[in-house]
Amino acid sequence: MPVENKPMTKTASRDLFPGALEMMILESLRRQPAHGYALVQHIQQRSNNLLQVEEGSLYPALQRLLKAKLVKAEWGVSATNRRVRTYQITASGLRRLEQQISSFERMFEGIALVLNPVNPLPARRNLQ
Amino acid sequence: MNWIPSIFRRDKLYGDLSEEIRLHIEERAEQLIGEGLSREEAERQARLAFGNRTLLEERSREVWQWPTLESIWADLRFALRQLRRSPGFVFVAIVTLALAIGANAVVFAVLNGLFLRPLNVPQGQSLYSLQRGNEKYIVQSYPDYLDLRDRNRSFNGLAAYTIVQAGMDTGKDPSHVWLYGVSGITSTYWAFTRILAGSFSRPMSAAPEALRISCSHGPIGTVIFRTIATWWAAPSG
Repeated sequence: MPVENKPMTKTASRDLFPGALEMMILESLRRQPAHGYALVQHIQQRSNNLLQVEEGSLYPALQRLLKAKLVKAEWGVSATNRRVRTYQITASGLRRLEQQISSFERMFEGIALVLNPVNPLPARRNLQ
Repeated sequence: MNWIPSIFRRDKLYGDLSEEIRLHIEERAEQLIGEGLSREEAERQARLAFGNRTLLEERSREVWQWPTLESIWADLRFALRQLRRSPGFVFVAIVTLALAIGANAVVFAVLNGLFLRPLNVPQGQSLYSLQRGNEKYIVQSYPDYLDLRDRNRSFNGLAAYTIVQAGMDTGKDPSHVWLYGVSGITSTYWAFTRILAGSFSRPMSAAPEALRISCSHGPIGTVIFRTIATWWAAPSG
């Protein structure tokens, strides 16, 4: 992954709406268990580096998820033979992820309507 | 009651977190070294990419804390550490505070005693002391008191008092005592006895009871006998 020289300020994480990082973490973990560093890599690569998540901001989010028992963590050894703490999504984590995705989609639809009023959805037009 | 075990798990949680973050930065640095950077530069960039480690670690810990309580506790500990670091300042601050508090306490005690604390009698604010005489010697004769009392229209009642000396014997050693002689048993008299009882230097064990004794001053003979006796008998057990 290319490394940027400019410091990644807090702006990157602040610009995400509340809960976005948690949602992306849960989604990444749904695909496969991972440790913190791999999660950052995964999120940045999957977003084509559009999301420059400050690496450290992952950890408060992970602790929140751990506390809510949406993920669980275990120390182990990675494929590259490193000592890592691997996170795994739990059953309630999966449920929460589904709820979050559906509410995110509604929010996204709403935002899209506001940003693109020229071409609203037909159903919405009838309401006006 | 999830929070009870979590308090005891804290040390492990925090330890895991620090270790995890250290390993994260290390892994990033090693990747950068693999990409051809020097170790020093790689470590610098890894730290940069991670962000403010102290702050983020603190935010991560906060997840497990009771935020307000624990941040107050943390502030307190920080304050104590700062104080330990500058004993001179602490000394000056404590002495200043002690002097200020002491001075205030003295001023308050005087004000409280003189002005604020109401007398322990009904309608204490309408209690007056009538005095006649010159600057050196304030005294009036008993007949004058009788005249004042009989012609009084301004007060509910008048009572006179004087300090008398007597010999008192409670069955052990007779001794010389000072008594307050108070005229007539009236409501004014009871107000007097309470005020006078409060002026003794020893605490009184009971409300004063009046006893008529005869003394050389003639009619002014009602004495707060019980009070005096309690006060007087206390030292000898």
